[in-house]
Amino acid sequence: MIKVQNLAAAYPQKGYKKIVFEGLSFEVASNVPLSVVGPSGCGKTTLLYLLSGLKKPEKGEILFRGNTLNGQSREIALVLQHYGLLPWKTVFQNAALGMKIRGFSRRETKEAVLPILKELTIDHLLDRFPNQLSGGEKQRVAIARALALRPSLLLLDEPFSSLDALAREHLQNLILSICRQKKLGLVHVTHSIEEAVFLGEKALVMNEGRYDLLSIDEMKMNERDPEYRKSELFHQYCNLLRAYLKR
Amino acid sequence: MFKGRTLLAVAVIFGAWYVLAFLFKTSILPPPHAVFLALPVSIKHGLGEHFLVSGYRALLSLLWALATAVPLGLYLGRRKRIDALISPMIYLLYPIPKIVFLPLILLVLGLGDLSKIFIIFLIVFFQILVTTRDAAKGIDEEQILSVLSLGARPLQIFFHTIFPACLPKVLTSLRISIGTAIAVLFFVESFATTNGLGFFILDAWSTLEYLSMYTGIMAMGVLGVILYEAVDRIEKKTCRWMFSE
Repeated sequence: MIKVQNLAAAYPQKGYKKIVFEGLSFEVASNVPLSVVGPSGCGKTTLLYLLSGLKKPEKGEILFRGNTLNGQSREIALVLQHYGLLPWKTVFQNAALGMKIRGFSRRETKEAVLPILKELTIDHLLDRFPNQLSGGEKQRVAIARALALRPSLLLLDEPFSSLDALAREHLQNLILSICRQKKLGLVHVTHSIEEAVFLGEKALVMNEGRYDLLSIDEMKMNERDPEYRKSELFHQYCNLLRAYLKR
Repeated sequence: MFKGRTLLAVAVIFGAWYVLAFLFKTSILPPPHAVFLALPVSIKHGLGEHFLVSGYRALLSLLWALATAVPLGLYLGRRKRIDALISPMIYLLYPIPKIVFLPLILLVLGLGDLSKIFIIFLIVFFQILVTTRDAAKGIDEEQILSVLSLGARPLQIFFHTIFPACLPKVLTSLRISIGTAIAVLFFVESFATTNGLGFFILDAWSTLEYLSMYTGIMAMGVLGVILYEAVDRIEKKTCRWMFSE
């Protein structure tokens, strides 16, 4: 269970604290994929940083599986919006970085990372540097790096925003199958209503101080496939989210 | 070591030298082949030893400057408040021609190598410091956030992100500093010493041995090429990603 209670976030700005959001409370089962949508500046990414432990809340608390989150948890992995790859590290080094930082041995790291890279079909790019990769390939490396840490909750910050439509759909399908296969919880922030509906069973709409947690789970994650995008249900949910965003 | 582009550069410089020597027709500017023919004599008179002494002084001062300016630059670049305190001091001291302190430095550190190395160090220190600090300031914050999100501690952030992100600019500042170091080297070796290429060149000049003087000048050029080539090789080894296509 992810339980957020009366959460507030702020950033220091020229001698005072600028409130990004406050009074945010919701609860979702940690294995239920949650999409977070809302206009720019509403605090979606900040919420993700709070969940990842990168940032401390101004007020309130976050409980993950019954424990208050104090700093970073080994069970939670974050993929940043612009991938967060280090240009001076190869694909393998980037994917293995989290394990290296956490002190895993070279053998353990290799054994964990190589199958993931293979699964994400980027195992032929091991020695390439990020500047030699396409946007989709970079995103896969970033996902591989997060998955190598064997998290139980994956946080994605606008993961497909800079990809073309085809690469975006392809990666959405991939995320769907990975989360299903690994029984991975997912919180993902997006600007795209379609993406939110496709990858979420719950949607948190953050809109000018209003927070609505919607169920968009008539078709469960396990039953979804790429065809889901063409279904009437999918479009109904998209319209529902659109309506909440326009309120 | 000498690739096509280097050979072309050498050909252009020697070509221009030939043209000038032909136009002026004076013993003050002998043609390159005459200087090459004079090399064995200069080597017999200790050019090799002078070259090694100058190389030692230049290298040591550059390494000293790197070892102090890089850590300080990285620290200031990542600590805004401390940088705000220190920067005015840097900007006050940086433009002062440090060479004016040479008499004082000679008085304090003596006439030996230390005073010469110290003055070169003092001059290149600021070049490396300012470039490194600015490089550390300009690091993409998402790269820091990226390793932080993986649970990195400060030292891991430094080794995985801050240092490699700044390394190309540190090497650029080192290249600039090599030119400065050799120019200052000539000046500091022009008095109170009996060794080094600066001494060799000025000694030959004062005795009107122009051929010998030019062998010294060429040796100084070779010293620069060796140092630049070394930096290029370090860059190719440590910044492989910059050369990937």
